[in-house]
Amino acid sequence: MSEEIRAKILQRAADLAGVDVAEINGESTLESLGLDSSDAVILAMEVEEETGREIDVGIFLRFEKLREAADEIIRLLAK
Amino acid sequence: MTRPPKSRAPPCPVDFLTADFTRDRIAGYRAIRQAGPLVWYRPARGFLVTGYRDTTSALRDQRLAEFDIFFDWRKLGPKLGRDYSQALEFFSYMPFRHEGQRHAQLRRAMATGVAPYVGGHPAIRARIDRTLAGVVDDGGCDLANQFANFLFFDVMCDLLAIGEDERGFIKPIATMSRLLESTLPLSHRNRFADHIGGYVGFLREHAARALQRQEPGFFTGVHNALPADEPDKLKATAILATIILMMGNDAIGGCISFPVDNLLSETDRQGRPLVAQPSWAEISDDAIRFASPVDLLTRVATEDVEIVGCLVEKGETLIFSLICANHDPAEFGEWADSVTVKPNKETGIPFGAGSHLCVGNRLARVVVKEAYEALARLPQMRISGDLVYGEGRVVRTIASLPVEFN
Repeated sequence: MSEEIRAKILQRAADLAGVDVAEINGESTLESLGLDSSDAVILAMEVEEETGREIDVGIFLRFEKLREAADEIIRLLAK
Repeated sequence: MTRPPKSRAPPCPVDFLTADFTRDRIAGYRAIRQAGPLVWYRPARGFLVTGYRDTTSALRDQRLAEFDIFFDWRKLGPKLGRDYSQALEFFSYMPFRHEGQRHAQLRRAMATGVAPYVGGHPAIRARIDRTLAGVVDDGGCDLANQFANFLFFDVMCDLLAIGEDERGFIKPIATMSRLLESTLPLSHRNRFADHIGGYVGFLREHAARALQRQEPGFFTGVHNALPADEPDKLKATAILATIILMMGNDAIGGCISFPVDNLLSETDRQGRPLVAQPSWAEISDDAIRFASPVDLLTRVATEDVEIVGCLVEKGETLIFSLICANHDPAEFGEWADSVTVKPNKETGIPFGAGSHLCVGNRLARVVVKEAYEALARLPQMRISGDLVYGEGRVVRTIASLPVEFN
């Protein structure tokens, strides 16, 4: 499940940024992908829809790297 | 080449967005000030000014303009295929969104609307007394939920002649200050977008009736003060009424609940309250300073500027935590983190400073003063249960504050 969530977040971020998901690496940030807080709102909504759990939009702003934000969400969902 | 912004100032040691910060805010703000006069706050991608004097001075700096905090609404609509046009129109009437002539027009209209009440009004005291009478008889209450959190909404509805039986329709407005947050979840945004037209329409009808009756008050004052070429003065009047309900209610709730929690919790070295309840009438201004419930103002540099010794480039963002500034011991002394009598300090800067000073500040001070005068007359209170914080991160509230009366 956690791998699915991570893949979903990275895929959707890639879609929003208009890049191939393979271009997202461990160093990718919202800024480096040309994304902003409106995209963070969309990413949080989509994880919510996928999991049925409330996701704090701020996670995508608080963590510098997109993968770190995904890891934090997976950690919170596992609680 | 200029260094990246995050390397020009030390990192902010705490994150305002977390529940941990909300639970221990006072210590958090202390840590921020100790980190330096200017820190880099990553989640908002901006520099945060930490001290009182620096915050006051920077907020008056005309090279810093209001940041467009609603830009994500504009972007989200097309991305999601949602129509946010009514929400965006509503935001466009917020005076602080503008600089120059439009800013002055909307401020003047709002200021004229509240002018009849800023010296006090019998309806304010009557509402406070009526609400408190209902809760004291029960021996205890949730002071946040049953008194503070809808006080301003009810006061304004009384002043706008909106009957008790009909105000329930627009009551959700009173707790919508979270619209100012960039991290607001999409579900909240959609709920607001779906209903704002109805709320404005409701207030438009009331404004029309007040104008028909030529009744002096908020609606008439705003309507008459709007510029002659305003395309739809009635709609603008209704939107400005909606804005004051939305922006004022949560903030005033915070100005009551946070200080009351402090006043009932904190004691001196002998275990006595710092301010005895019968003296609360004297501390309403310091209560507002202590609470400073509207936090995290944002500005954008319109040219390269030096702020607190740091280069801030054109287009970069500055953030001001009014509560961080208002708890600065360099300005407010060793009791900066408590509600006490502080001679000649008044409220500090809970309403901002400079051209964007909150236009409702005098009305807010009157309502809060009346509230503390009434609380001072109540039987001795004590906290009787766990405090629950509200969800807002820009406008801070307490959702629940159970108290008992002796």
